[in-house]
Amino acid sequence: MCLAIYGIVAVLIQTGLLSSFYQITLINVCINIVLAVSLNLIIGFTGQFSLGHAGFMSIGAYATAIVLRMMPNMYGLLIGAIVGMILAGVASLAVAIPTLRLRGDYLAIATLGFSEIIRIIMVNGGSLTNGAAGLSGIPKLNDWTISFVAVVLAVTVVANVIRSKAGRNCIAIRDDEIAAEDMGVNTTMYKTMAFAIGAMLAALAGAMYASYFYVIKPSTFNFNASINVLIIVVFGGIGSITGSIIGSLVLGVLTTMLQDLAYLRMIVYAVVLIIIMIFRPQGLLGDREFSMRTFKRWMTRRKGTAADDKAEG
Amino acid sequence: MIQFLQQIVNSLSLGSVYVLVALGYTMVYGIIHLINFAHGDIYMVGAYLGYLCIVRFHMGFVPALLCTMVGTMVLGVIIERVAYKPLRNASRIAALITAIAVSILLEYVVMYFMGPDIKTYSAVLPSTIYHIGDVVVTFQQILIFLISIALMICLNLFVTRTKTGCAMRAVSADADAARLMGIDVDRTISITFALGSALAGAAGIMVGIYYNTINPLMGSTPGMKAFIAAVFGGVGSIPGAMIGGFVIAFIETMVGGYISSLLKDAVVYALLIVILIFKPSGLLGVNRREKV
Amino acid sequence: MIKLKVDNVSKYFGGLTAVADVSMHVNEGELVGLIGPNGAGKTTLFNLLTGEDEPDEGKIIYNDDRRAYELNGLKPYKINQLGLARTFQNIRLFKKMTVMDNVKVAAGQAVDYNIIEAIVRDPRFYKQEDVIAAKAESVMKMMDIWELRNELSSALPYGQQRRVEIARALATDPKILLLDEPAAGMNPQETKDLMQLVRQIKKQFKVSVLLIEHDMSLVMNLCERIYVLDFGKLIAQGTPEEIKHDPKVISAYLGGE
Repeated sequence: MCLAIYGIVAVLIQTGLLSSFYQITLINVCINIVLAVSLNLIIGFTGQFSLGHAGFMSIGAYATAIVLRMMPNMYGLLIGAIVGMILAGVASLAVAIPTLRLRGDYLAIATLGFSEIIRIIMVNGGSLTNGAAGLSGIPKLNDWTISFVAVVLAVTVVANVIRSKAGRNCIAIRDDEIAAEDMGVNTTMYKTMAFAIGAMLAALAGAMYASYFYVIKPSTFNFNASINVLIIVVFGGIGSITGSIIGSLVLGVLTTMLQDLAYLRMIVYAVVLIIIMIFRPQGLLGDREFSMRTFKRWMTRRKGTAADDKAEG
Repeated sequence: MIQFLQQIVNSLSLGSVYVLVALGYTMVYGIIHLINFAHGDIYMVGAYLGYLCIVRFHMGFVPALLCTMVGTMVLGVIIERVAYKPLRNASRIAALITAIAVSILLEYVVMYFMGPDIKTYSAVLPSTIYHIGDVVVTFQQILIFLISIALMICLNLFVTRTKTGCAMRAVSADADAARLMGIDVDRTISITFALGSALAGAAGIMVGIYYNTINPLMGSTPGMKAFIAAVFGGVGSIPGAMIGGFVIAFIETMVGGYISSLLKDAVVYALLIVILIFKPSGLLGVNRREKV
Repeated sequence: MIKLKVDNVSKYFGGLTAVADVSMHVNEGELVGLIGPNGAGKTTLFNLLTGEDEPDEGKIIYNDDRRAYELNGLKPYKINQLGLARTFQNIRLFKKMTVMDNVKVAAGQAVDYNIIEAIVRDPRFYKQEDVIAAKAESVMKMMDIWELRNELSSALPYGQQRRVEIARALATDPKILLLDEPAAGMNPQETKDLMQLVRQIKKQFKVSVLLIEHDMSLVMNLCERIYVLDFGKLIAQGTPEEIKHDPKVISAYLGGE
């Protein structure tokens, strides 16, 4: 919770100073933060390898788009987002209940399969989803303030879940599912819960996307989209919320800077990913978090050594 | 009725392709418990190697096929040695992510060097058509089917009759015990990758010839479907992959022909989920339990 | 009063009979041992008791103070909530968590706040977190691991990890504690300490203890009654004295003529 306060102070200042080009990057980063922390909840903290995050995002995006067409105002955005989140939550139950008994690789493939099924449903949604062409002309109601609020919301939710009994149980499930169950943890319930919360936040990100980029197509939310979020999570640290935030920032900026290099960029990402997996599989931050406490301790330690030097000198 | 028979003929060639690719998935998973996400892209590389052989170097069918298979074989071994071997003892997630990264790498390297647009094969096989009653069968379909069967038989003989094949089965069952028995586990794993990749390459070039066009992303959906075929037949089981490939192709062709070609992919994915829920070990697979 | 009753339980794995028609019981406050050569089926029996596996034949019955529960087919977390807790042959601590968190996971059963309250952080959340923390603290202090509370559990030496694992099991408020080879890998001094610890646990936590062990000195000195398993079958039961002199037991361990 301390992290959130720090963020609000520093970043709100940014609002007026950036050109629209960088604003796009900024909003993109925000969307990715929401996606990354929610995926991290599922993969990093509960140890369930889900490759279907884009599917839940698309539910949020389409729900928002459809509602906004009927109600092109802030209420529409809010209702659309909420509807999307609820639908995604329900969908996640449909995905979770059959698949959560699977382990590792199989779970990954199953979630991927579900995500593809959702995408194919969107393609075949008739006039509601407009098929492969997608929906366009969505009112652009998202902006920095809204995105920021969404990010704070997502990060707070995930952080609060982690630092609670539910969070501990999820981490226990990740570390040793059998032992967790023998210590009284209803593993199915907690895995499903993590999935549902992750899915709902992904839908929130979808809502953010739809009302900023005003065009959505089923192909936007394909396997590649899920992989992109996974890359951010892995890079920043599986099991670290701060890592996901930093990862989104770094990769968001990198993507913008390297925009012109298209294929080379992806090749570099892939190679870097492989190198990270071989040499530092826990990612940048591993499962450590950056909090006000660590920051203060770091500051006092530095002041301390300076004082010692003085005393000796 | 005619349409039904026609669909069966079509599904046989599709099935052969799926089997060749599925075999690679199943062998690799059986031996190191990794879903090689990059396998579909090895198939794609095979298609491109075939393109280079046939269109750029004007090779005939057989030399092109052999070159392609050797090429993908080498690629498979390199990938295994560089990217997968260091992660043999790492977490499942790390290994899977690496496989995904390799897949991305292959796709974009090909895109970088060959461009993202489709490439067309020049004709290298006669396009003779046979008529069995009202059912149309092309020479190419027959050739693909026969070559695939031949490759499957060779693989089966290799795995069941040779020492290396026996080693492969031993390492699949228990790598540590195999090591203690003096089996060079690293070499065995490399050979497994080599064989799987060669088969995928063969599938790639044959698909290139049959469908005429190829693109850098052609590996992902067939790769998934081939994997589903492997799961259906029982991951780790070679006969299973063979059965699975044809079954999945059959289902896909039937759904595409009789219901809707848009939904055929969804049906196959749904089938995957159903299998994973009710019989994750597939038709012929082995159920592994975690020891407490 | 009989706390745990195993009635003619069998478990088959394909062609292998892991547990064959075993009947046993544990009385309230008893310290019972389960011994037998490797592969005799002891851990499998534990797994049946804690719900990892389901018996193919027979019943397992647990007696609460109020009623009897049949444990067959119940999920492990339910069985734990009823009152059985266990440790594992190969220590299974939550490796990436601190000792404190390991114990808190187990202690968390006792409270009931829901996820919304956790996200919103209402007062009930804080109060119940305090309850969990207090419980974890009391168990850790009784088990003498309070100073280790902030250590990463996987960083501890083996003997301390064992202690933490036992503490974690105790934090679930069990009536029956199942210990799977708690003395594995310990030297004679550590084994003696463990014996003390188990006696102390039995008294302070008021639990019945069922333990699997290979270390004969520990079993003979600690247990009030012993069951002997060989090839999945119960071949002897009785007091340590009786078991020590039972020819079937001797031949099972040392090989017959």
